[in-house]
Amino acid sequence: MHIPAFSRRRLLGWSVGIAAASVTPLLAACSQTPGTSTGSSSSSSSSSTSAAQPTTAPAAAAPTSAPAQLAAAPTTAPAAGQSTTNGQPVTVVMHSWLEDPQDTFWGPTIKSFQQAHPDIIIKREWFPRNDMHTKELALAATGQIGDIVRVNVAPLISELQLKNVVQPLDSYIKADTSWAQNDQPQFWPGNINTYTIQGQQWGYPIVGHPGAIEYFYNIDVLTKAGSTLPPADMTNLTFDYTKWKIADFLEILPKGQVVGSDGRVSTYGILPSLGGEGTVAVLRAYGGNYYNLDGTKTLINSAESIEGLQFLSDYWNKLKVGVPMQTNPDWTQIFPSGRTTFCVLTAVAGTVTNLVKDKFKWGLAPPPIGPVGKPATQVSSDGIAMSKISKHPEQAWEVMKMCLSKEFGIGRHIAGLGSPGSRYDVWTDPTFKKAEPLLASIIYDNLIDPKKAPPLQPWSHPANGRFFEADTAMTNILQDVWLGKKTPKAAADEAATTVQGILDKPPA
Amino acid sequence: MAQLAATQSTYQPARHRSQMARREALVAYVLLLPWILGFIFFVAGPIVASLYLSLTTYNIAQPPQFIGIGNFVQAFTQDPLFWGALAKTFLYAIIVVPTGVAGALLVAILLNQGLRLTSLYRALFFLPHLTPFVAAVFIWEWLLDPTFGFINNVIWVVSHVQGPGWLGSPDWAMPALILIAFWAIIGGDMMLIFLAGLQGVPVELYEVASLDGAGAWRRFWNITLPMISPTLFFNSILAVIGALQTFTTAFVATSGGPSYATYFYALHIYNTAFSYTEMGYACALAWIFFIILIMFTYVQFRASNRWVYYAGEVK
Repeated sequence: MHIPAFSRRRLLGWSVGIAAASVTPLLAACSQTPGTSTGSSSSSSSSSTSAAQPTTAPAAAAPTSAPAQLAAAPTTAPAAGQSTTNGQPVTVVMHSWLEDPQDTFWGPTIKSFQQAHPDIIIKREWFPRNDMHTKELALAATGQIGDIVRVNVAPLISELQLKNVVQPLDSYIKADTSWAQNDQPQFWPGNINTYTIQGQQWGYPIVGHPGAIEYFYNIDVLTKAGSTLPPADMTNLTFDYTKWKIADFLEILPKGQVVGSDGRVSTYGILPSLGGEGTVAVLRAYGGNYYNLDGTKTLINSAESIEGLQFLSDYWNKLKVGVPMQTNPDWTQIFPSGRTTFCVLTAVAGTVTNLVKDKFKWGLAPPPIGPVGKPATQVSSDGIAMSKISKHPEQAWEVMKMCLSKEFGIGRHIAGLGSPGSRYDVWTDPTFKKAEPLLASIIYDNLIDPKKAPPLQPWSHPANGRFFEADTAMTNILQDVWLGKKTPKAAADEAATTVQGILDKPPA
Repeated sequence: MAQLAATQSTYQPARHRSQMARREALVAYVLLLPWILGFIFFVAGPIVASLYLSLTTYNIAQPPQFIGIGNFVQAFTQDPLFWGALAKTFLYAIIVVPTGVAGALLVAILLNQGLRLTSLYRALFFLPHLTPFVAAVFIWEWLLDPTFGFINNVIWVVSHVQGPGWLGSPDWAMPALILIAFWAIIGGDMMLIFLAGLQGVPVELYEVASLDGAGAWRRFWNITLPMISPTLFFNSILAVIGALQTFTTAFVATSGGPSYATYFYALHIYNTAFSYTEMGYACALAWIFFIILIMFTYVQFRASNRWVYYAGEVK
C-alpha cells in the first residue's frame, strides 16, 4: 500500500510539536512583569503584610475657608507649552468605560482641551464597564496599558496599587502648586482618603456622592395615608435634621404601604439599597461597618453592625414593608410607577425628576439619624489614576486635571453621565444648583458642607485588594437575613468567618 | 514477454505515482492549514498553557509561581464554594437534561405528525432559539419579577395567591432558571435533530407493526425509540455537557444568588478568573471540571452499547 511521504500521522505529530512549542512563548509572556523595578515585588509584599496606616483624619483635612471663596479662586490654568517629543504632540492614552454614546460631552471636552494644549492628543480606549477592570489588568500585564487608568469603583484602587498598575500622584501634586493650593482642597477628604494607601495618594475620585443614602419618597401616598412627612421644605429646599431620627422614619414608613382592594400590596413601603454601599450606610448609623478603616479586619459581627442588620431585616420580616427581594431591582420602574413609597438611592435626583415627571409629588430626605447621633455616610466614587508605565506622565497629569476640574464635574453630570464631581465647588456652583436644586441644598447642606455637616466617611475596603471576592461573599451570606432564613447574628458570624478568611489571604 | 511489454507500456513508474499522491496530499493540508493553525494557537495552545497554569498561582500582575497540585488540594479541601457549586450544577443538570430531552422529543413527534401548518409550528417553536439568549434572560427577569412581573400577576388573577419570589428567592431561583432553560431547549437544535431522526425512520416498520396490531405506544416504544436511539444518544451527550456548563442565565439574572442558590460551577470559574484574578486556581477548577465531563461522557458511551441501535451495525 502506498503511503504518501507527508502522511496524516506525520501531520498529527507536527501539530502536537507546534502546539507544545507555541506554549513556550505564551508562558514566557506570562512570566514577564512589565513596568516593574527590581524592588517592585518586595514593595507589594510589604504593603500587604504591614497594616495600612490610617491617613489624616478627614476632619483635619477639611478646608477651613468658605467654599464660596475657594470657588472664586481659579482652577489650575491650562498649562500650555509643555515639552513635546521633538516638537511633535504626544498622545496620551486614556482608558475608561463606554459612556456618552452620542459623544455629546466627551467629544467637545477633549476637543476644547486639545485646542488649549496643542502638544497633547488624547486617545480614548473605552471598554464595557463590566469588562474594564479585568482588561486594564491584562493590558498592564502585557505592558500595553495606556497613561490614564479608570478605577471602576474606588476600592479597586487597592488592587491596582498592589498589582503595580498605577503610580502615586504625590510628586505631581506637590510640583503643581496651583493645583495643590486651589484644587486639591476642593476634593472631599473622605474621598481622597479612599484613594490614599500608606500615606500616598494613588488616584482621584472623578465623581462622588455621599453614598446610597438619599431617601426619595412619594409625597402623594403619604399624604393620602394621613401620615406626617419627612421634615423637608420642598419649596425653600431646607430640611430640619433635628426631627429626622430613625424613630421618626419608622413612624412614617408603615403608612407608606398600600394594600389594594384585591388584597394585594399595590405600593410597598420601601425599596432599600443593599450591598456594599447601602447596607454599610445603615450599619454606620448604628456604629457598625463592613471593615475597619485600614481594611484588615471585618466588623460585620460587631454588636453595632448586628443592630444595623436587624434594622434592615425588619423591613421584610417584622414590618413587612420591603419590596420583595430581587437580585437586580429596577428602581427606574419601581419608584416612578408608584410601587414603592420610599426608595433609597444615590445622587440621582435629576434622573428621578425625568422619570417621575408629574405622575406624583415626591421629596428627598437625607438618611435618618441613628444611635451614633450623626448622619452615616460612605462616600462613593469611581476614579482615575496614572499608570505606572506612562510614557508621558506630565501630559497625562494635565489630562487628569481636565477630568478632575470643576467644569468637568458639573458638565459630566448635567450631560447625564452619572454622579457629579467629588468637589465642594461643584456642588456649590450656581450652574449645578440650578440643574440639581435638591442635591445642592438638602443633600449638600446636611451631608457635605464642611461648615455644617460631619466629615464624609471613606469607603473602607479590603487592604489586600480582594474587594470583589469579599463583597460577593458578604452579599450572598447577608441575603439570608433579608429573606428571614437566618438571624442577623448567625449571618454576621458566618460572614465574619468567611470574609476574614478572604482578608487574611495574600494580596490579590 | 509480449504481455510484459504491453503491461510496461501502460505502467506508470512508482516514483511518478508517489509524487502525484504527495502533491495531492500537500494541497489538502495547505487548504486545511488555516483551521489547523487557528486550532493550535487559539485552542490547543491555550489548553496546554492552562494545564501548566493550573499548577501555579498566577494573578496576571506577577509571574506564575509553581505550586504543584496546591490548587487542586485547595479546591477539594479549602474552597467553601467548590462542593456547593458542583452540587448545584449537577442538580440543575439532573432536572434539565431529562426534561429538556423529553420535551424536545415530544415537540419533534408533534411536528412529525404531518398536520397542517407544520412549517409554521416549527418556526414558532424554533423562535426562542433565534432570540439572543442574554436578551431573552432580561425579558424573563421582567416576566418573573415578584412585584410587577406578568407571571405573578397571572397567578394572582387565577388563584388569588401571591406568586413566589422567583429569582429573588433562594427556594425559587433554581426552578426559575430551569424554567428558562426548558423554554430555550425544547424548540431549539435538539428538536430539529430529533425531527430529522424521526423522519429517517422507515415508514414500512410502522405499517408492519400496525398490521400486527401494535398500538401507538407500542409502536413508539418498540420502533421509534430504538430507531432514533443514535439521535437520542447524541442529544443526550450534548444536553449533559451543555447543562453542566450552564453560565449565562445565572450570570445575567442572579449573579449566582440569592444566597448562592444559583452559584453554578462555571460561574465559580468565571468569578475566580475574571473577578478575583486568581488565574492559576481558575485553571485548576476548569481542569477538574474537564475531567468530570470526560468521565461522564465515557460512562455514557460505554452505556450506549446496551441501548443504542445502529442499523447495519455488526456485533
